[in-house]
Amino acid sequence: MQRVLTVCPHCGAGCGLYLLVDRGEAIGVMPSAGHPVSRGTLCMRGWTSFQHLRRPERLEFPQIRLNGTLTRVPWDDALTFLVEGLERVRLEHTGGAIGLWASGRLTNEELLLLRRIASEGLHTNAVRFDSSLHGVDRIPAAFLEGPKAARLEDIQAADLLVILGHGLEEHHPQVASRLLKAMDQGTRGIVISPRRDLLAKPATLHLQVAYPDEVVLGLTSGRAGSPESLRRPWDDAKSRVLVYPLKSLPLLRELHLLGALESLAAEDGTKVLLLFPRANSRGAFRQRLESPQLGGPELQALLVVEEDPATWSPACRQMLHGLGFLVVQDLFLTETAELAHVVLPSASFAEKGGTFTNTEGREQHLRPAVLPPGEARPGWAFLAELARRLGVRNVGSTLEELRHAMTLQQRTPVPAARSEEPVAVAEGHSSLKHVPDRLGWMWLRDTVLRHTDDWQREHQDQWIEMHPEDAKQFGLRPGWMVRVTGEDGEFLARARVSDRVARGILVTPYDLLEGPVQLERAT
Amino acid sequence: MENIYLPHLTQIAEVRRETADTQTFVLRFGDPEIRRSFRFTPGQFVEVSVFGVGEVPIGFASGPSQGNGFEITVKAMGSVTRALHRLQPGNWVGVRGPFGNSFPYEEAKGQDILIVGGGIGLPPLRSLIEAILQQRDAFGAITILYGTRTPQDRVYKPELDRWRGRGDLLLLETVDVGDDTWTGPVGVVTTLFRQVTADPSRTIAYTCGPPVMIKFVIQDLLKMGFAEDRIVSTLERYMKCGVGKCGHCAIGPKYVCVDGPVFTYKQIKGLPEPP
Amino acid sequence: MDASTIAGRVQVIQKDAVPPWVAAMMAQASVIGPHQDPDGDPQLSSLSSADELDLAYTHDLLPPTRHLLPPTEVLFRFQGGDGLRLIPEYDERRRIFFGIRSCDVKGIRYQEQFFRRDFPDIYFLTRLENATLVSLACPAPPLPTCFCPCCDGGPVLKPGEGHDIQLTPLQGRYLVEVDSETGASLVARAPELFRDATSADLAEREEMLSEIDQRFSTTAYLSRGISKVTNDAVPEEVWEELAERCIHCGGCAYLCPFCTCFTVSDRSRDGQQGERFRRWDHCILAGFTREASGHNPRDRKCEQFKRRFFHKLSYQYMQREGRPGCVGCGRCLTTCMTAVDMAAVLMRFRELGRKPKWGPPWAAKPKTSP
Repeated sequence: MQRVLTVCPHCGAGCGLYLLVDRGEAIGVMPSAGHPVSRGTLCMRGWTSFQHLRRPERLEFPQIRLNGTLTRVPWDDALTFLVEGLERVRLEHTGGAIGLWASGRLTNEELLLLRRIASEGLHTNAVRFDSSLHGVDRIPAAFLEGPKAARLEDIQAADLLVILGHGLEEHHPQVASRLLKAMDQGTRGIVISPRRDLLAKPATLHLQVAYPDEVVLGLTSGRAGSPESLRRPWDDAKSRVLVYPLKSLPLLRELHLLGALESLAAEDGTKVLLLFPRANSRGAFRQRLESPQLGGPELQALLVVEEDPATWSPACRQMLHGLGFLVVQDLFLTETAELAHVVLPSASFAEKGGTFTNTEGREQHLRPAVLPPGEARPGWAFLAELARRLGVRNVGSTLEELRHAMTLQQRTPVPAARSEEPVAVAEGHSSLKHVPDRLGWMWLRDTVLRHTDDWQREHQDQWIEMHPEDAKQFGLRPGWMVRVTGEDGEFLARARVSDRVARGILVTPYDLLEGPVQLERAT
Repeated sequence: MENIYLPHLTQIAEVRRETADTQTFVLRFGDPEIRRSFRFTPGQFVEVSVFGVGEVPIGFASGPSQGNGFEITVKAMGSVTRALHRLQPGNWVGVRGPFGNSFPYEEAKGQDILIVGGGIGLPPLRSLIEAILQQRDAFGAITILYGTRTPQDRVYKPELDRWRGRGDLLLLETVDVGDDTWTGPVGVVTTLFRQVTADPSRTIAYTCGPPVMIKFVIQDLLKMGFAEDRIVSTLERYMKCGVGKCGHCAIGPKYVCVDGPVFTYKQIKGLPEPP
Repeated sequence: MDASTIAGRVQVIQKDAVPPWVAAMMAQASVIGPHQDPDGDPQLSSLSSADELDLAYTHDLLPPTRHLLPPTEVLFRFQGGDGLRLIPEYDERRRIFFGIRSCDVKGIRYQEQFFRRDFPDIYFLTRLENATLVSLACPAPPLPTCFCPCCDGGPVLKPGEGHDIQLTPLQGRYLVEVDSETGASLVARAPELFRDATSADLAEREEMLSEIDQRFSTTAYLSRGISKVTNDAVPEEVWEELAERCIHCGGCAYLCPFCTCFTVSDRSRDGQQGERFRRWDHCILAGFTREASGHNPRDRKCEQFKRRFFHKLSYQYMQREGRPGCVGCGRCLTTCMTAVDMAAVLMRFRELGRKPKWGPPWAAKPKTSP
């Protein structure tokens, strides 16, 4: 049994893990004890990260839709067909009619290639890297680098931890573990969140509110709007770390919060630990192009790499249906791939090299431990070939060459903040504030997790959560299937009733439902 | 060393539909040596494989000495049982076993037998009934009570008629909800106790069925004066390996697949976790 | 000098003679020994040369039992079409485990007892039959997370505990105690590297043994924990408080030398051919007991969490296998993300009645006097 050290492909922590390989197969995983992030631990996603590798439904061969059916073809034919399709769209419309969507699980090398394909090959800026960061155009540079940017080890050294958001143990377990252990050992912790989760218990103070941004904004505006219970420990502390998981608030609130955090971080002794959601979200953020509203009527073709936008919303699915040319590279036949004209098989994290940038900015190497199945290829190999065929010059053909190109790349300038008309943040139903668990929704739709045996077994249901008094008011009982209807759509989930959630708050995993929601029992 | 995880190839000889979602399969081993020497006792179970889909534990539904094959009665509930239902005579499945312990009935010789079955709990009891009827004279009075939700859910309709027609046992049936074909009693199976006179000191009671039914049956049996070790039932648990290794069916220190699935009420009461 | 005259004798090998001895072993079998990974984790792995041997090794986070019961393994392949065939796969590779700890030997022997009981598990036992165990006693805890003495987990093995050879480190050399014919034949590969132990050697070992109590943590919290659990004397609120922290990562089970649970699945592309394989599983996951109907007899987190500890400290181990289900190897302490590992839980039981004070027990201040 050999061990190959690599990085977990799931959340932004970037835990070091060993793939256990025997006779050419990845038979398991174990944490790296000496790795500075994992330190011998892994969450459930990490421990099960090898289980999707040998699933029989892995895509193995390139396919093209001929007469309505996906048909196996050699790579060369698929690439030719693909390039022809894209060129045709470019001629009939413009390059801007072609969009590129890439997941936060792609490596830095793959993202760089996509960026070059977009700007030098197709001349389009209809690009979205890592849907989990959608809408986040501006992150203050101070949070990414420099004395105000916290790293994981700053948690131990702080005398005050302020945690904004719930569910860290689910979305960022490694960070939650550090925070928990620091609070166990006496560090003061303030949790500002709608739900009494794991970290709320050992915290010195839990401010249970629907939207943490409102409390934090109060802290900035001369402390006037801030409760004494928060103000006092804040002022008393000499070193503070503010922890905020990106994407845990609705978009507009998040943008306001980031602004508030910027002014708080200006105070002496204060650092901000921003948690990027996916394994390479930070890398994706760095590579991003400024992009207009995506998915508008001008979009005619789309290249999707390891993302599944058909699951985002009915509107998205509709848009994909209407495209003249859709190309997908992925590990499994996703809902998006089922609509595609070209489907290409992708290698998984365990089957390729490349780098991920974790939430702290630590660049870490993936090491291939096993061969991909069939004719599946790493994203970088396919994208390098595609780039060349689209006329992009000086594209490396090996991973080393690509990496070299990356170090030569200019730092991406941080685009100026877009000024937008403030959209009224609609509150939920007249008596319930709707708190969407956006990160929960992200994990629920994750393609790799949906094909991970233990994850599927343990996450058979989606849940909405509410207080017992609210459940009574709506006539709902624990365990019932509930239909949640909003302006943008509806979904089914099981009702979890607990007093972890404050009265008047409804937590749902559904990302895109903002505004008033209706609840009724589903039969 | 035998490989306890390797199934024996077994052919489906016959399929009989019992209800809308339940079928009985007659299985015969491919290997003639195994076919000849395979033995089991009522209460035991086999692990049945539909290769490519998975494996499920199913209790024997036929009497122990039918030689040439055995029967299982299966309700379609999960992916494996649904796949099994799609198979036809001539198809092959895998069988491992027999596993588990048996209904104690040798020790009941000379005494009376009371059997209370509900719904899909009748199949393992049928194995017991066939075994007892093969030695009818060794036992005292035999009473069989069978309850289902509706008349459509009754399994073994021909056997039920045959048993009723024997004259040397008492068979009473009831349904929770009748229909226009049903002329028998309506009510839960415990309502049939009114028609039963059993001497608890010389009767062994065996009961199988949905957990809720078992709970009420045992309550009534205790009220009737049955001692805790004269009430025999089966415990259900998610089982995987069937041989006490994978850990899934463990309740307290017991493995349902090795120490059960047959337990007396006294043993069930003694378990540190609820059944 | 034949094997039978060597068995039972206590001998000595110089430290620098160990690599040539290992090289002699490698001619016949794969030696899985301590080796420092260039990336930093100490581990036991198949040596490609005796020079890789790292005798300053502490312990491997992955217990050696996982070489005998791997995280996933194929039980058999099936092939349909014209006549269904089942093709089992057995792993008969010969392995010499060199430098495993006493706690690891106990884990392997416990698993042997478990897998032999009732229905022998041919997969595990085939690997075990082809495995030789050369253990390394611990004069001091290799890691601050070790707590084996209070769990009957080590740090030194007595004759008959299931090792083939036990090495005890002394100054510049190792004491070599052969405990089986297989062990004797390993020594016989390079008999010139060994000499008989003298009374001075044995005296040095005695001195080392007498210091063990001081060097290892002497808190006997395991036995108290066992009695609290067996007598059901832990209040439900304490179980709830502990279970709430658990995030179901599974690490404690995957890394435990005494954990053996697994689940079995089939995989097939086309329904005609495929494999049945088993993979590790653990009782803290909710789906462990969920039935096809959806009913789950243990559907509360608290019950799942409780089950693990009752199983290890009472049911399975005390009632069935005759010893506690923990050897104090400390792996769960390293891997638990929320400090509800075995030691933390046992410490919590000790504090019953007092306000809970979390924190790793091994971070406690050292004792000032013996």
